[in-house]
Amino acid sequence: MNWCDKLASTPAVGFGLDPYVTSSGTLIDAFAPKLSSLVDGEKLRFTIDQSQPCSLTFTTEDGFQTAIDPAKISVSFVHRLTAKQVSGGPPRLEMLSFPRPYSELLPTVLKMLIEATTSLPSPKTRGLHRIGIVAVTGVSEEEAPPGIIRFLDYMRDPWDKVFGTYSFSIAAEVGSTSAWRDRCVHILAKGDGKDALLNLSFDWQRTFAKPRPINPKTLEEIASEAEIAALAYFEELAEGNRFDANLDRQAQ
Amino acid sequence: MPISTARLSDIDSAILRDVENATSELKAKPRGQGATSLDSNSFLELGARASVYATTARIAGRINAANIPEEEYQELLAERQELLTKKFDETLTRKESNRLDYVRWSLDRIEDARHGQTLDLLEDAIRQYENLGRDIDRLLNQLREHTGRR
Repeated sequence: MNWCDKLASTPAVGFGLDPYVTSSGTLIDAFAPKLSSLVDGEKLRFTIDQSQPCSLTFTTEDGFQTAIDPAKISVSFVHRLTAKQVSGGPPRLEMLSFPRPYSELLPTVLKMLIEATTSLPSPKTRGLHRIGIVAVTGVSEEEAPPGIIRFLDYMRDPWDKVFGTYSFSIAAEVGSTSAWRDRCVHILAKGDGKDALLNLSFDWQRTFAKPRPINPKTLEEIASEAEIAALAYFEELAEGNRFDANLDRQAQ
Repeated sequence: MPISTARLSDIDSAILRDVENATSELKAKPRGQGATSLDSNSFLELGARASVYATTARIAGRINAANIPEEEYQELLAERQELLTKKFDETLTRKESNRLDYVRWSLDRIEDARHGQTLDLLEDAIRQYENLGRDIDRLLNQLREHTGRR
């Protein structure tokens, strides 16, 4: 169990594809079997969030959101809340989505992404050039992993006095071979106010030197390797050796 | 920017917006399969959107951390002991010191998951007793003032 599990992080995963322009109507047709299975009697257990000329976004009632545009497809998990009326009392909040560990949700959204990608129109004529795995976490600063606190201290170090509000984003290469390059976009932000949370978003991406074919076997291989690499990098961030000024000095 | 036209790296901010939207819309919907209800004590604390997210994330995190296998918990305890032994022997490297911080944090999260809710209730009870104590002090001061005036 990694730190993303303990802080109930939520995952988003996506593929970057060769562009292929098709109408949103065609996309809905492509996903008709999946969407039809989410109709319960007369009730739709999903919402179409956006349907623009060439793109489509829909979310299932249990919190899985699929977004498709000409060059990308992504599946993310978002907690869904609803207010339920209570007899003789104030409404009560309920979660429609089921809280599960990040390391359980991640394979689920990857599987859904692979299924959705192979459902796209003309998948065999397109190549895949990127996979992304995102971990989104909201946590109070005092409950954040020590490596993240070290990261913040590392960034705040040049100033004597720093206020509580901050927002920064760093995109960095975190590994490479002749076949792929890994990078991660790190976004850390905290708003104003006593109750403001530290919002963490780590967007790990692997870009391939040559486009990979779109078929279930290849996609499963890519997803499996990316999952291992992304989780290892997220763990590394939480330990925080990268942001240890003493280690930096030793290295020099 | 709609999520469908966002870069992959923008998914995160879209998700954050969606969480906020989900909490702000609060449309009455029938309970879905596997829905988890927040208890009424939690509801009283939900003053702002951030608090809603914090509360749900904490509950979800506690559910997750409480389900950690006993074997993994024991491994963390053993690793902490090993690193502490090195620390007292003064052979702990800087990297190992960072690892010790992380292992301690992981154990804290598990302890919080196992006992946090009870401690939260205890903290609430203490806070109420403290408030009562302050009210009684205030009343006594007022009584003394009135007695002194006579």
